[in-house]
Amino acid sequence: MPYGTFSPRGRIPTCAVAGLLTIAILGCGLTGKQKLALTAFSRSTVTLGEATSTEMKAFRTDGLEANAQVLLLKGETDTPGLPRLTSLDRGYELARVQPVIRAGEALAAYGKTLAALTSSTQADTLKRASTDFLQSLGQLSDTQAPGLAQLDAFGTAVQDISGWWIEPRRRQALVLLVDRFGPAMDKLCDRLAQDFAAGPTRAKGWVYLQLQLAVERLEAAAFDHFSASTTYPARKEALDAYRLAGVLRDHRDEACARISTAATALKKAHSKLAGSLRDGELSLQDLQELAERTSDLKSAMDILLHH
Amino acid sequence: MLGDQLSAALAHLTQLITRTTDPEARAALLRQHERLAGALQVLIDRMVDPALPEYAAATKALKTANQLAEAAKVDLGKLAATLESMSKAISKVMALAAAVGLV
Repeated sequence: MPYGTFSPRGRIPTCAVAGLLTIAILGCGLTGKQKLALTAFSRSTVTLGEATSTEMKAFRTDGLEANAQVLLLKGETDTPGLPRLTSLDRGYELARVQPVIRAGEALAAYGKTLAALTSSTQADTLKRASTDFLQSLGQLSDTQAPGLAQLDAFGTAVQDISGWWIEPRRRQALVLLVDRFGPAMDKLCDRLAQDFAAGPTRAKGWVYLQLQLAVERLEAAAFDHFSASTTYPARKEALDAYRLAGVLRDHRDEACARISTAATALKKAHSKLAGSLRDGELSLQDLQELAERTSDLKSAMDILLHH
Repeated sequence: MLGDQLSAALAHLTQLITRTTDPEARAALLRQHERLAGALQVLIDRMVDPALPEYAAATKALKTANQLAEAAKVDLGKLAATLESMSKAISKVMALAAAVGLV
């Protein structure tokens, strides 16, 4: 029946049926397929979040080391904006790297909360995971963080998970978590995908460019120093710096590309997961698609973690 | 995109520095390398509106300079033309930075 001819009287039973269906769906526990999908997804989310925070801290260390080596080889620069003795952390200031580290921590906490809500039978574990997640959201900058009302609603839902009624409440809390915080997590994924982008299919992000700047300066300075060196210690100093530039370049290329790709894959898998939780069941095709996404993510993360 | 052109230009200059044996040419390349790095840092620090005419002019000039640099890596005889083109491109980037109050 076209919407234009839909009678108001017919809406009441339809709404009631829809409401009952929603209650029926949310009133049940998770299906086996949903648990499988949630477990795989939450693991990938934790891995990406933790890898992002770890790599961002490592990039800061890499950047500072490269800046220090350039200063040793060339002395102070007179080019405005470039690192000096008093600003060795140029480009990696805490105010710049901290939001990225916290975004990674929030994603990891989100994954841990999903995992706890999916499988934990211990109320304490659930509450700890949700408390950590809410705290990590509180650390985000204003533009990234969800509102206070959303935090309160989720905190209350998790507090209610206990006793024999645990399975339906577990599912309700999961739906609430994904509905209320999913969009914020998707935004974090977008941000990471953009910040770490290494080209060529996407414009290079600031993390990649900042590292490139440090590494290119180090490589150029080391080469020039080596060419002008006449003694073994001077050549060794230049050669060590040149090698360091190569190591930092490899680290940058591997880690940036993988984090960016994984963040994009995570967001796609997330939308599939959110839909399946609301609709009540995952089709075989949904599961396959989700498995592909999480598999992309897992292979990227395995390489990152063994770097 | 300007960021990608700047990134490519910096990488080209590094490669030319490691290929040239002429000390004077290397010194000139090193000076440009440092200026370009400074320009890139300024543009990493803050987002710049891609709709600005200076943005398009800087991107175009860098693209031309990058094409010459690519050729110079194979034929170092094209180094002088590359240096001249890169110098113009860096000036355009700095003009953009000035237009948005970054320098």
